[in-house]
Amino acid sequence: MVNPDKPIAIHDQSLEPRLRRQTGVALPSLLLWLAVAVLGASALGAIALHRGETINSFWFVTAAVCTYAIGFRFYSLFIATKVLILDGSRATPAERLNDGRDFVPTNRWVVFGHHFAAIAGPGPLIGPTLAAQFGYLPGTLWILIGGVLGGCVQDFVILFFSLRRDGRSLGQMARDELGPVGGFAATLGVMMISLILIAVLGLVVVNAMKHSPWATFTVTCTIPIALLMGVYMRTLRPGQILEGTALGVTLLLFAVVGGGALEQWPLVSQWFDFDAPTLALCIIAYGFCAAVVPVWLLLAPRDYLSTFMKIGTILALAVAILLLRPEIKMPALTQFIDGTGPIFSGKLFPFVFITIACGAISGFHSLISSGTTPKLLSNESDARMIGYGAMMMESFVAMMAMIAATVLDPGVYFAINSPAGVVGKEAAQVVQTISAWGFPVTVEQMANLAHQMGEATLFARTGGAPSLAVGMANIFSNLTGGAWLAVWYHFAIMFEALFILTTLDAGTRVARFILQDFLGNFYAPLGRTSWYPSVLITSALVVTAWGYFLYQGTLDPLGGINSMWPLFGIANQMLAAIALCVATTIIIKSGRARYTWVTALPLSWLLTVTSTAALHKLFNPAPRIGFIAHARELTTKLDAGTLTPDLVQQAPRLIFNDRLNAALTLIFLLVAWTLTFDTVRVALRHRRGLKTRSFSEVPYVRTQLAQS
Amino acid sequence: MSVRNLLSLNLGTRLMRGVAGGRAWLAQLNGDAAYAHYLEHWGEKAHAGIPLSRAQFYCSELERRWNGVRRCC
Repeated sequence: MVNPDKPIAIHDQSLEPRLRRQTGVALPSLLLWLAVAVLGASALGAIALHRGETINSFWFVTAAVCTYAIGFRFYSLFIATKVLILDGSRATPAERLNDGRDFVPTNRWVVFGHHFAAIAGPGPLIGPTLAAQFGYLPGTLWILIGGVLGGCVQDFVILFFSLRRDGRSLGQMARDELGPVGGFAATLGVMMISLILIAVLGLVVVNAMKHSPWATFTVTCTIPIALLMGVYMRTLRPGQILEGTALGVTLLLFAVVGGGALEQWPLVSQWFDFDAPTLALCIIAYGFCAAVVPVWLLLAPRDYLSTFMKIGTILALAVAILLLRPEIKMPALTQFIDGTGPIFSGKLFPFVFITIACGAISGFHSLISSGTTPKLLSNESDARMIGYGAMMMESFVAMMAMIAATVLDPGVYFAINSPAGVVGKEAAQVVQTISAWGFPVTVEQMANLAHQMGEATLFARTGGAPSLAVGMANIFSNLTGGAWLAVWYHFAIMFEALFILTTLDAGTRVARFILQDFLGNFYAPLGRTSWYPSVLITSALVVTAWGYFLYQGTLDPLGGINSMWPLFGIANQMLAAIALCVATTIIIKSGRARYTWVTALPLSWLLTVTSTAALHKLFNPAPRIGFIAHARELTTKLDAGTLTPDLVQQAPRLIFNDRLNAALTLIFLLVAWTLTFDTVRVALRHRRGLKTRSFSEVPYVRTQLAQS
Repeated sequence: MSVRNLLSLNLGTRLMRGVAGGRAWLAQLNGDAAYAHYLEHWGEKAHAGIPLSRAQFYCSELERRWNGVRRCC
């Protein structure tokens, strides 16, 4: 057992060359890093101070690369050597508990690939796209600063602490270090965030597919393709994953191109032409089926497909941006920093910090950093590259999404992303409203763009996916001489929908396991994951829970994203706060309280922004921001009989939803603050020398791998 | 053998090794190598009975791996 009063020393520094090499800085190296710092500062200065017509995206890439390089070289090294004290001589769980399956010492670049594929979902693409309504500057700065000082730190420290605890999950670590309250709060947080995440991502897909036969056809095709891959990899060529994936990718590309031919067959085309509520029901039905069929049949092949497409497309986007260096047309700041934005309501502070969660700091990552990845590391020193480094990559993905969203004409960007409830339903009315904001756009321009993208209309395509797809299509089509815009657009929609649906499948299963675990306390068979009636019942309950939010989102006059994305952001950042609470507790208990600020500062910032955002969503008197104010306004108007006939019918449901959203926000707030108070309690007890839960780190065992 | 031939042979050997290494790395990354790992580990630990077939292993691995948080937002 480790003495909590003494810092833990590296047992054998001769086995720590990677870290030792980098602690001293020679003069040439110092000059090089000075040059990187000056270049990065110049690029950031250019981004922050530029007020011209356009600015080149090269400045964004330069600022990002320099910031990440300095963050990794200096800050992550400081954390590795001073705060966590990584010890390469210590055998990892993968080495000690090697079972050839769950715990397997793995090449660090392979672990890096697995970890990055696991943490990088649709969040870093959608959040920055939505946050671009404030202009390019706030989101860009938050992605860079939040990433280097917050998200990367969270992923790194949680990975390390889980590594020292045999790959225990965040919930288990919270229970071990803080107590049952902490453990329960963390588990509840995971459950709630999974449900909200699935609902809001489902809504993003629905908004991308509504009345778009091409997009619906392509996304629908992913299901039989995944089934075919599943059968291929299980029965025809068991376990041949690369072959199966190659087959699936080829078929998928045919489906993207083939969807374009639908307009020539109006009869067939109408089979894939649905409104948003119908599509929501289809996704709910799909979600249930995907949750109850065997993993090999649908979820696993879809995941192989989406991982391949995700990494391939992100790399292609990075290459395209570096080669083409497109001009950013969005201003640095827009008037919507005052809280009157059409895409989501609320002022720059705190809403930009919860709108961009993934890409800056995402609590969900702590679930991957604990439990899954630590069981694969063969050397403890690799935790720095994998924990800190993979999050840097994700942050760069968010930066690319910001670039792709802001290369659009601002008028076009707002026309695509603004809900009809804010800018009107008629095209002429929409362009007039948006042009009056100072972002000129015309009906002809939007009609041409829709035609080029193979869509009937691009107005009110809220959720971020369509505008990101237009941005990506513009960038990619430059590589093909301006041709194939429609194909690139639908490729981008398919790419986003593919891994959104994978997240939906996987999230449903996670929530189901948690629910089964909980219900098993009342009736034991319900807790058995292999008992099929339990699988059916709990899957139905979980799908109904997120399905309700999804369906209601499609009926919401403000588009659903307006209320649900902030809720998701609050939930995700609250989970990050929970992870940082656990990390802070462990740092204090490991005898390095003087470095508590490393996790306590991002924790304080998250608690400030998320609590402020949650209080705004609860009590802000503006109906477009506050859930309670919106419910009150509707109630008053309903009683006074001043609502339009269609709103009279919807009002009771909208009022109920507002109250439900308010209750959820309150729960998130309470969970995060409960854990914070628990952390403070444990820290104070530890400082006074009172009894706390014992330090749960496993004892030191010398590695045998490094010597061989 | 001339120096030129030697160099070209070395380069070829290097290339082949590089390709083989790349394939092995890719197989680890996409999971194709997992069964070989399992068999190797199974052999080392001298378990009783016979190991799972490739198809059985594939299915049981998927069930195990998807029994928790595997994908993020």
